[in-house]
Amino acid sequence: MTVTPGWYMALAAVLFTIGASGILLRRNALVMFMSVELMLNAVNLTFVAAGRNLNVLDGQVSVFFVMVVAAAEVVVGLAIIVAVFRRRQTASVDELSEMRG
Amino acid sequence: MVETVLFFIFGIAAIFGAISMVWARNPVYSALGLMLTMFSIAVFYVSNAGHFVAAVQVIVYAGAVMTLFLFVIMLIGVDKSESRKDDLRFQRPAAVGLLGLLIAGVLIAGSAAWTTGTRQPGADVNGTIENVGDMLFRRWLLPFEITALLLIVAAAGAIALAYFKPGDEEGDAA
Amino acid sequence: MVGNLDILAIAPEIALTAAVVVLLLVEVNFDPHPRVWGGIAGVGIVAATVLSVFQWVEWSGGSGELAFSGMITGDGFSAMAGMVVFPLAGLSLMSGWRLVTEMRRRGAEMVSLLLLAAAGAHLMAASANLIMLFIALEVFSISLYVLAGFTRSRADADEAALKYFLLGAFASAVFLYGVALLFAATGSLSIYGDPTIYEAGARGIIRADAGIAAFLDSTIILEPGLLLAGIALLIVGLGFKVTAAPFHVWSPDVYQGAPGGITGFLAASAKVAGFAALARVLTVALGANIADWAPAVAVIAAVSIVLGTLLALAQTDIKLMLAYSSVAHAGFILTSLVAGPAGVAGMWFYVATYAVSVVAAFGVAAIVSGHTMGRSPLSSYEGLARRSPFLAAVLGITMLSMAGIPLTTGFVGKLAVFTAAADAGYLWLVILALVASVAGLYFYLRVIVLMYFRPTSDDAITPRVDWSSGIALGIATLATVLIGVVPWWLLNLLNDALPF
Repeated sequence: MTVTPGWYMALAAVLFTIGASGILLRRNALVMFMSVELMLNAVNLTFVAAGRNLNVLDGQVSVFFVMVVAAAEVVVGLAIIVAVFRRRQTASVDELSEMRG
Repeated sequence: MVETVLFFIFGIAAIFGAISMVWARNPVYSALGLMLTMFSIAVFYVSNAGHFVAAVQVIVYAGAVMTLFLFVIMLIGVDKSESRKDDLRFQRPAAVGLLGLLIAGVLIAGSAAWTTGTRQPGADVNGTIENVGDMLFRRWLLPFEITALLLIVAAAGAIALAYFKPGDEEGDAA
Repeated sequence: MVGNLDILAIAPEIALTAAVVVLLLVEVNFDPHPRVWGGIAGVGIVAATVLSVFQWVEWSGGSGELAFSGMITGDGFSAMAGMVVFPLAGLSLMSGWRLVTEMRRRGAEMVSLLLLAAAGAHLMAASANLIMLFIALEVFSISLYVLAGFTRSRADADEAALKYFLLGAFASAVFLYGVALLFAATGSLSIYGDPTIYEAGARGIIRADAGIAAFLDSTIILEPGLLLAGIALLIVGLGFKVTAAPFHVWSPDVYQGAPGGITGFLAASAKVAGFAALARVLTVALGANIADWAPAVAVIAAVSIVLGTLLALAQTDIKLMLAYSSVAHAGFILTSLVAGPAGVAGMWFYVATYAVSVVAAFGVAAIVSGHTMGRSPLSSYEGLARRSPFLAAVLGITMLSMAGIPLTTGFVGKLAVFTAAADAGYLWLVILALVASVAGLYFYLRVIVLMYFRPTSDDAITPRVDWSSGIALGIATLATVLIGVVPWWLLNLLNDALPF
């Protein structure tokens, strides 16, 4: 039994879906944000595995860029969460006033 | 053979970490679950010849980013575990159903063929620092420069959001 | 390696970034009067606009170039994006200037983020590589997340920012997964490919990259499942950014929660940048697969038009009404894309003129209900014509244009968009859109009736128009009317604004 890159991509699809379900099911802003990070990690795994199958390095370079973007996103996202918390003492999206679409 | 064993051990660890991240009521456990998943993914990078990205994954993601997360969780306080009562009774099952469709679609599509692009000839990819750097500073030079823009945005944005100085702005109500 | 044309392709970004860096350094070291920030930002925006015009002169009409190893294009399309986005940023800055000065020292960051968002928006339109597009998208979106939560005087502003951030980050991740699947399906991340072969590397050659468009043109993929999943995720991800239904849930909260002075820019730039990116990805990279994505785009357009119009009918707050009507407008613009490359000129006309109208509408709302404020109930517009004839005229003409009344830009835009879709054989979509436009008359004209035919209540305040927003609103209104009366030169010009 040999592991092919396809297996990793299947695993990544499962992880991506778990992350997306975290966004939809959880109401804690921090956990929702962590779910986004999980989704980005799943995408990164897809890039690396597909790049190996295609025999190009661009997949791994993309991962590098995604990590930079994720780091910048974390800085701003956590700053927003802290700003909300300072005002309201909660990180739950449901407790935010009348913010529903 | 080694790769198969590693795949199953860390694959199970990654899924366990991911599920416990979504499921845990306490955000600290969520963060730890996510860390487990990130370490497992770093192992997968190594098995897929991504040595440099594996190192960056451990240092930047599992290291710096998750530490930031834990810091903010501790700052905000962990005692407030949320209730899991459902007030969007109709939307959530629908959303989960859509997600199920998505994953089923991707898995069915993938089981036919996981990559349909042309495989490039030549030696297998090897993501050493040298090779990645070669790509980064030749073909990917411009995106590399644009990340500088991204970092200015992050720095200016964090300052703008976190700059609390009494009396220096409009009705500081906080 | 890096030639003059390479530099020209990113010259507007260089100008804006230089302005941002100078602005931040000056602010930190000298703490000058806000007018200095405005001067620096103005120089940056004017320089970027002029450089976009240079790009237009160099590249318009299909003679584009790839720059930086196929990462970015210089073509009429990207030049036009610059010529739309940068003046729009200038207009937004002028109409939101009171907000900037009210922010005291944090105003400098606000101006910088607005300039960086404009740079990101132009990069999105110019990107020729999907990862490059993702980075540009993030430069743009992260700036907007911060701008949406800029004021601290109200709780709903940072809540709007949080909601915008979480859903935006989610959409970005979905978009990126689409990119990854497209990479797996086509073996490339570059839209046009990278013809350069790098020989001298320490590890030998980096091979030439054929590019997505060429691969899909020349190859019949026997198992297209992965490709289709990738296309679907790409459309969903960008659909979030342009507020197409059913991915619009964030927009009403954000448009109502964000500080009034900046909302116009949030709404307008997201449309311009998102549709530019969508147009290039769909018509160029996936141009060979138009039969796969056009029906999906048509369905999203139809859902957006119907849902946006119906929800806008029920609103009693002008910002919520504008938010839902922007969902409907996203649908109208998507209608042009089902025609593929033939619809791009119509898309540009609609997007550019709608963006100007939306900046004007939110600009008036910001003056009527306060620059830091979010809510703007319709009742505060009763009898506005007597209290401030100028604002009532601006908002009235904007509403007429959004409703698509002849002699305004909205009419010409709708005409161009519907013609493109009808030529492509989507008659059902055009009929649906026409019916929705008629229904939309109700809520646009209701605002005009309120302003002109209702008595003003006794305690209503008379809004004060500062000179910078006055000029910005005047320019926007004048453009709406003038281009609406003589649209032909612009329509002809836009025929050269196609991706090459």
